[in-house]
Amino acid sequence: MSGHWTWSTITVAVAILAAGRPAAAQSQQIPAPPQDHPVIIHSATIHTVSGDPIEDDGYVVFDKGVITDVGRGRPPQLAGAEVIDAHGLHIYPGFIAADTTLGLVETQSVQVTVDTTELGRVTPEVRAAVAVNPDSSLIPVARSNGILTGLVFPRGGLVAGRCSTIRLDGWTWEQMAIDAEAGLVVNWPRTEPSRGFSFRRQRSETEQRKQIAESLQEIERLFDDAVAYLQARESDPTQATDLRYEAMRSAISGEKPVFVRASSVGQIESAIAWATRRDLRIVIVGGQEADKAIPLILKHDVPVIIAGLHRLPRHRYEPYDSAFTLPAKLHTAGVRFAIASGTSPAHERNLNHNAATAVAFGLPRSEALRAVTLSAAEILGLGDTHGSIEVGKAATLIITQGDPLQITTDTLVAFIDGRQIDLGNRQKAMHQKYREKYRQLGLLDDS
Amino acid sequence: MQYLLVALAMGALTIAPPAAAQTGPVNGVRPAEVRTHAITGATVVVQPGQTIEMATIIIRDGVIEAVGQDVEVPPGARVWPGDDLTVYPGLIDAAVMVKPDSIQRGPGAHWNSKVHPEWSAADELLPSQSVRKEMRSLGFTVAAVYPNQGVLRGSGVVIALADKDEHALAYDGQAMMAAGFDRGGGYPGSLMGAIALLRQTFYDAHWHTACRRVWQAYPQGNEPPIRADALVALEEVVNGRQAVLFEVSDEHNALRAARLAREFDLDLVLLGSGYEFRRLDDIVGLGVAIIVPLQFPDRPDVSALSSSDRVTLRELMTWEQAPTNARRLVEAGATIALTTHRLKKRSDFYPNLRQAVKHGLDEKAALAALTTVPAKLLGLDHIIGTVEAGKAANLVVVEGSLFEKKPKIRDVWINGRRHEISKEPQIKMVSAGTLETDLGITREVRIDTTKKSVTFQIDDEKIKAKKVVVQKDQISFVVDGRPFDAEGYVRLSGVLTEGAIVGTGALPDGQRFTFTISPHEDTDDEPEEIAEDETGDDSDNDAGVGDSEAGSGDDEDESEEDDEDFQMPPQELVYPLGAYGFSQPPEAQDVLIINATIWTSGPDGIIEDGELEIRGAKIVYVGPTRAHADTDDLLVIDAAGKHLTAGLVDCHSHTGISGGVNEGGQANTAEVRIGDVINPDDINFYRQLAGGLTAANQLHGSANPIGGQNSVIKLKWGGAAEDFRVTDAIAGIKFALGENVTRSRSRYPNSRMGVETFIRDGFIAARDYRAEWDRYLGMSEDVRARTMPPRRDLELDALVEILNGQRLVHCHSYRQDEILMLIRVADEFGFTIGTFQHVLEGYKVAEAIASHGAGASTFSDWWAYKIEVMDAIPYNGALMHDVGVIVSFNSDSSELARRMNTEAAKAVRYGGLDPQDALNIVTINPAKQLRIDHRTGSLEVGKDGDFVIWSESPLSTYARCEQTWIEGARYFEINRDRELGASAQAQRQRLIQRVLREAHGKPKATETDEPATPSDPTAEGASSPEPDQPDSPYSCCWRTNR
Repeated sequence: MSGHWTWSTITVAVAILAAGRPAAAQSQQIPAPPQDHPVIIHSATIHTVSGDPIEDDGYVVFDKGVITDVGRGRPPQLAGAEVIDAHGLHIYPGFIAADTTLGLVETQSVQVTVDTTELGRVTPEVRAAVAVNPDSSLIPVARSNGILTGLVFPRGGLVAGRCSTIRLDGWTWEQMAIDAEAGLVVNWPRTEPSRGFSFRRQRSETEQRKQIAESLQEIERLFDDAVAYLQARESDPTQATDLRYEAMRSAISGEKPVFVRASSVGQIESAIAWATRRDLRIVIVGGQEADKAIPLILKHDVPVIIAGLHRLPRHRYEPYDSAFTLPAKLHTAGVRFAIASGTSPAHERNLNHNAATAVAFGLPRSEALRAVTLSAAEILGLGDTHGSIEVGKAATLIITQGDPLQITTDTLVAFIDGRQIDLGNRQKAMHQKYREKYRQLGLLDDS
Repeated sequence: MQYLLVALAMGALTIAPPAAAQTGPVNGVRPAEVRTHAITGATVVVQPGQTIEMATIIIRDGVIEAVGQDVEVPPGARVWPGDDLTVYPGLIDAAVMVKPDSIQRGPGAHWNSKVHPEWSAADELLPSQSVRKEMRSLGFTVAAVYPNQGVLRGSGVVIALADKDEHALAYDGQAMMAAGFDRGGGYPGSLMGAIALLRQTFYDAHWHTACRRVWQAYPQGNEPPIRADALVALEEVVNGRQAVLFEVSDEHNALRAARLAREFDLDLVLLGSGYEFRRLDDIVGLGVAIIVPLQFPDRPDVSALSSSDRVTLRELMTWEQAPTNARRLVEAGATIALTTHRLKKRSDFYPNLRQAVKHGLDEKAALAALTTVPAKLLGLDHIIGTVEAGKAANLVVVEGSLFEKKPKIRDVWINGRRHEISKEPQIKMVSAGTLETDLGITREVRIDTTKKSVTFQIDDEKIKAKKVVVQKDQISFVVDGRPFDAEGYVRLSGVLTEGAIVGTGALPDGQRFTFTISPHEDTDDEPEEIAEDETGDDSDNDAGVGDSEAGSGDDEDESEEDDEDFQMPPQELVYPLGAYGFSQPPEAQDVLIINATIWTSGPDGIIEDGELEIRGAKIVYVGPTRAHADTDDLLVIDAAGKHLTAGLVDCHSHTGISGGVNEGGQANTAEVRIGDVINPDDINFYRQLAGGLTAANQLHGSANPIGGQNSVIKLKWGGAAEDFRVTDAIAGIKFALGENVTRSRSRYPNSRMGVETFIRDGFIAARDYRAEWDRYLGMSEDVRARTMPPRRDLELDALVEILNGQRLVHCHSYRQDEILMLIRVADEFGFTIGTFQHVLEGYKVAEAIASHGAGASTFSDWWAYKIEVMDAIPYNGALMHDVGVIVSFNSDSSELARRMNTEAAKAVRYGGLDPQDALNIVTINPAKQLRIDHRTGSLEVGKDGDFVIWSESPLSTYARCEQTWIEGARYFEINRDRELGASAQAQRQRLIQRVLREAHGKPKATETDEPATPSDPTAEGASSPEPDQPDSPYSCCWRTNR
């Protein structure tokens, strides 16, 4: 509740909104055309993330989708530039949803609208990007809270497929895709026997450990087979093609990371040991018990994508805030991490509130901000292009009235690659439609 | 049939390229496995008695392409280094008896149910995946399988024991006809009956063959022969073209079977008993091949004099001699194959084979009995049984020799496909090393992961770790505290990467430390001095490192605690038992909170710099700061910089409900009561207190249109279920509309149309029921005395209470049509709905909700989880509020109920509500909806002292709940929480140590150590095994019935 804004700033904000291209389009957002003239935003507080904020009188200039200048005071004069006075407002890099299924899921309970999971335990050959629906009604909803970039995950099975980094605006999935093959997705098997109460007959610890060993061996076999296949392809012209192994090529060569979904300390340790042994680059996704594997994570400098803070503790005896304090613990230890929403894509818009919860429970605010911008970009392989406001990076940024980690803060304007994005969405449209109903009934007076 | 199968098998083995192996459409992407392999540098046992050292085997498309020392590895081949490994021909079991699921008895079946020679294993019988796996783990690659029951049982089939069904192909349909002397359960009931039946059937087979011949030759003017499929199936047998595999239970039955075979000139193979040595010459003299089981009699029980009296010399001699059976048969010149048949468990195979070898069976003969002999018996010696070019690539890869008690079988190859049996241990560390910790302690250790041993060396003393579990790269163990200068057990777990083990340990008091074990450079092959005092038998290791557990025998040294060590469990218990329980229930205090920003949720709005006074559990003052003469009788809390709100209220909770949230068995379950099943021990109550929640509406689920009765509670953690209940809250009931209740395809209602009629029908029935009772109760005494009373119906009782305005309907709803429908039903029956729950399209009919007078208890911003919520908008709450509906936000989630304050903030973000109005959405508004606003929901004089202290504005995403009070008693305080947490940890550690002591005996301690102080018996939070939370954040939220 700290960001009390003034009438003048709101006027500016409204003016900007009016200037925004298709302000009337509420339910069908129209993708923006490529940036064709420079944009200068000045008199704002610029939260660069890569460095200290530029308080009050910062400016940022971008052209052809790329930031060309960031500074303080009087902005440069550029012919044909659009100049925006953002007095009293704040500029942040766009937020990055580091673990999402946006575009793959429309209505969670309707199976035919869920394209996250392919048949089979091992389906590395599938790619998330090609199934991203650019007209998903969920995307504008996430976008209107400043989320402009995402890593879209296939789910299910042991090897789910390949995840894709996308920008959240475009006419087609091709335009949206930043890297359709951003990494290989492995869902790490359980590593500890389960215990306690179960509806099914509880199998003995020995039996369970056998099965766990079998699952771990399944991964070994898969990668052994893939390596043998790739070698055979090199030297044996008659070796037939197998799309599964082909899809693992870039991960095996180390060109792309393996995103390993692992929550428990056992899963994390086992995954890191595996990756080290095979010389793979991995990112831990989930990471609920990453704080218990810190020495190993540090030793191998493994980044962690924390899949949401808004979850219950794993065990009854754990502190109520064990999930909330995890980022602070990782930060103190020096672990590289990003914060993801850990929720369904419909609720991706609450990503920032996860970061804020970490602040309430000990993480410095600047780190929380970094965890949903620059740190996420670095872990997703977008460190050179996204996540901060720096010259040479994509002009993917937002203008807000206040602290965007606060629930109460609205996102006023957003640019993706210098293109001003329509921040309308279906929900805003329905809201306006029914306000009109009550105006007609004389129950509202806010015309 | 059989020729077809032969052709099929041959095709698959010799010419078919891999892509053609699967002819159906592929369900997924087309697999293209590498089918060219090279096993290099191995010792190859080509066949019994012929070995090539340092040989390479080339396998291509399932067939051995080359074997030898100078064989070149072709390009693209997957290379399997065979150094130190021995490759044998894949083993063959010529007699695996499998119980069929059922014996199909078609038309033309034999009249006797034990005679079904027409039955074919090729058509019906495939040993299960698990049987195949078990066989493979013993090195078997091929088995002939037969039905295990009947007199004439049916034809067997020879299959590859591959894991995938499509690879478990039939080599040959010409496996034998299985037979036996089965009896009992009708005719035949005796051995002689069985023999008579066999004899008659063989005669019949001859007769029927003859009849068919005539009919085929002269159909005109002849009656066709009777249909007799069983007899047709025996034609090949009685012609001597299909061998009979006769299973016999002893040496005499072997001779009887041979006599019968001779009588009908059958081609006989005996599936022996293991007692052949008792009539060795007679049996060998038959000149038939014998498949010999390796089951030996149990050791006779002679420990007691009385029982030893009953053990005969024959029995004792049989026991002693049985292991010599195979050797004697071989020496006498019999052709034998060995089988796993008759073994009590197949894993006895190698120990027993070892016994037989120990009793003189030549290893070469044993190998022949498992490879070349059964191959020949099955007529397949041209394709299986040896490691030669052109043969099927069926191999057993062994570390060492196959004839050990527990041979280390690494892989089994079947038709050129590798089946891993035991993996090379991934974490292999056999070395001395240095353990370093961040405790400043450094120790020398010796680790042997293959033997699952970890030994600490301190001066001359060796301290062995217990319960060493090795799983892939991970290792964990328990060691007594001496290496760490601690008393009790220390637990360590780590993971092997880059040659070192990195991990975390826990001292007896629970203190965590990190450690690294780095191996010494030069000790890899140092003699295992320490291993001397091990059990010496790394016993159960046939499945590799996976089955860690039972490995170290030292885990079994369960020693009961000595009496002198016995510690009485702490006398004082906490409530609820477990972490964060209270030893004393929180008591109401007279308390004054000063200097706070107070969000009253009442007429006074937000008071900057105000104070709140509570006496006797009730609010006696709320307002601006006053001058205080004397506050000695009050607990004064200075809340400068903090914010104070009423306790939060959740109008839709499923926390703390035992044994199921739904009674979905019927469409109307108005008779069930959540109040009967409150679980006050649900830890989520405590967690929700930590988020400022003080009251909740526990609701039945939404599986049925008319659900169960609700329960309104305050979160009086530590109390009993009855303490939680808000007894003066008006009773309520759950209703549900829409997708959830119409989802069931077999139950009315199935549509929103049906939901309306179902609910109306219920109320009409209730009205009739009420009228019936009214009539009855209105009867004159004597009339009533002569009238049977109406049946009391608890379901209708609840509905009558609704009609009478004594019970509030809380109705799960989403779409505007159904919301309006229920309003009209309520109007018709003359009652007012308490709340619409979820009501995500409430914004579309807000005027109707407002004018009816129902509350709206919605989600802040949920949507898109099903079709009926695609139109949900986060502006819903604010818009309904603007139109005059009393709006609350609920959680419907044990997790979200901890963060209701920031849920309220969403009404500011979406819809621009005034901050106090927004907070009211989780305080006074839900209290009004539950009709408990006379007691709670706002900070007003006379109300219960239910309040929360926040670190900053409750609408800030950075806010933290610091204290939560109910009725003047403090249930949560953030520092107290840390104490309870620490106490819980201490109790857990104490109890873990106790468990370890009882499992492993009293740990040895360093002499200098102080005796451990027993844990504070008054400490709180003793923990019991508790079910863990689900791992996935997706598992809880979006699938239940909201």
